[in-house]
Amino acid sequence: MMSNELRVVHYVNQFFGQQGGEDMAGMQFVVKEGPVGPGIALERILGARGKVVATLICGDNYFAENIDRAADEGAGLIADFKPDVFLAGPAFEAGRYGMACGAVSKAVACRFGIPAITGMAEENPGVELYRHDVYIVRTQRSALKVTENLAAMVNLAMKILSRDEQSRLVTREAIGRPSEDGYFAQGVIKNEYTRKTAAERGIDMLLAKLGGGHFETELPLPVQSDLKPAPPIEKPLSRCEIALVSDGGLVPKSNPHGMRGRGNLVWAAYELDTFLPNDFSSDDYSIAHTGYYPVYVLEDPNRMVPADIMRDLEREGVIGKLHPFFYSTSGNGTVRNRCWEMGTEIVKNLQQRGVDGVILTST
Amino acid sequence: MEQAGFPVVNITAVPSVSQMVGLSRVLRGESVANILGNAQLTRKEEKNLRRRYVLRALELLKTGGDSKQVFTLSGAE
Repeated sequence: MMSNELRVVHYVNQFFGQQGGEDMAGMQFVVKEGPVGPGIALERILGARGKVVATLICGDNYFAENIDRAADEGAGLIADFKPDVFLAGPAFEAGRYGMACGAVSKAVACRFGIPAITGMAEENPGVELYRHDVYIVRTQRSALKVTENLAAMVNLAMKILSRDEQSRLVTREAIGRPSEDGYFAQGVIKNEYTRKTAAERGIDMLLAKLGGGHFETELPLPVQSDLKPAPPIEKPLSRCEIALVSDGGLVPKSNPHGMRGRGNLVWAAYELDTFLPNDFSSDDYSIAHTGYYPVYVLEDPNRMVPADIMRDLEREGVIGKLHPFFYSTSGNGTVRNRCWEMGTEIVKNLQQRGVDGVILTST
Repeated sequence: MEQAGFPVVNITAVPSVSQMVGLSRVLRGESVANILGNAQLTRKEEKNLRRRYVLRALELLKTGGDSKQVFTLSGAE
């Protein structure tokens, strides 16, 4: 039996929780009473319907580096607030934040049996990972329409909580189709009552398809990821050429190829001997990647691109050869298609030189 | 790169993304902002740590990997 005013708990990361930027991404959980940051808009949207009784804040790195543990920890911290609804984010296109929102929402929904709703953009890795477990409202990549997004999240929550007599579903759940309520499909088949028989609906669809009209499938076929791993290296490493690749955005100071810190589209090949010699200077580099705190890598780029170790191993004969070029790109909110394309372009270079294997370092 | 036949080891602090893409040789690194380093260690200790990671990665290049597992320095998760 729910009270008149909903008790809402809101999850945000360190940035939206006003604790700091990437420099605070390692912070542990903090619970604040009342709304913080976008939670204030959220409370306005709720109006008389509810209050944000608490805000759960956590650093994106602390969460992302041990997702399951953090999700459990976060869920445990809000028990005392007795929430009726849990909202996370929205995370837009921020990958670590999206995964945190998905994971903590899932943990809360499982532990407390309350609606747990988040929001993110389609390309956010959190969508694929959590859409089956959590209602994820579709947002744009930018935070521009955050108020609209929060409103959509609240509407979905209200729908779920209502005892909607108009529900078409056999189970009488008060939830609309993904396209109607603006959330990502969960891959769940639900039976509805309808006026037309399946035969009639099938013919309608076929006629629409043949006539070039609009039709909506009732059962979309799942898209499989059928990536077959490349075969392992057979010959001894001492006869192999190994290449270093990274999507951490390490570039020369002037960023001559114009790599973007977010939504990047380019890659570049840098000759390792000149780009990252053993006697490097930190002043000679930039990080074209706004998704992580760059200080450590700028201090010593080998922490991202282990040229120092690879040279040692080459000298010692552990590997045959370190591929002379380092392939650099930046993978922060980079469109998936372009990532694939960049990979195929880099492959041409690897093929020319007879590279045997690749070490790809990410954040 | 894998599709083209080049075995890849992806060293990352957030392996779920790599697994989602379907990679089979995913090695968990140190931390997001310092994937093959550790600011708490001396330069020398750090280099030793980095060397262990690189050797582990090279080792994994010689295996078929496992898309359901995330590998670590000492084994798998």
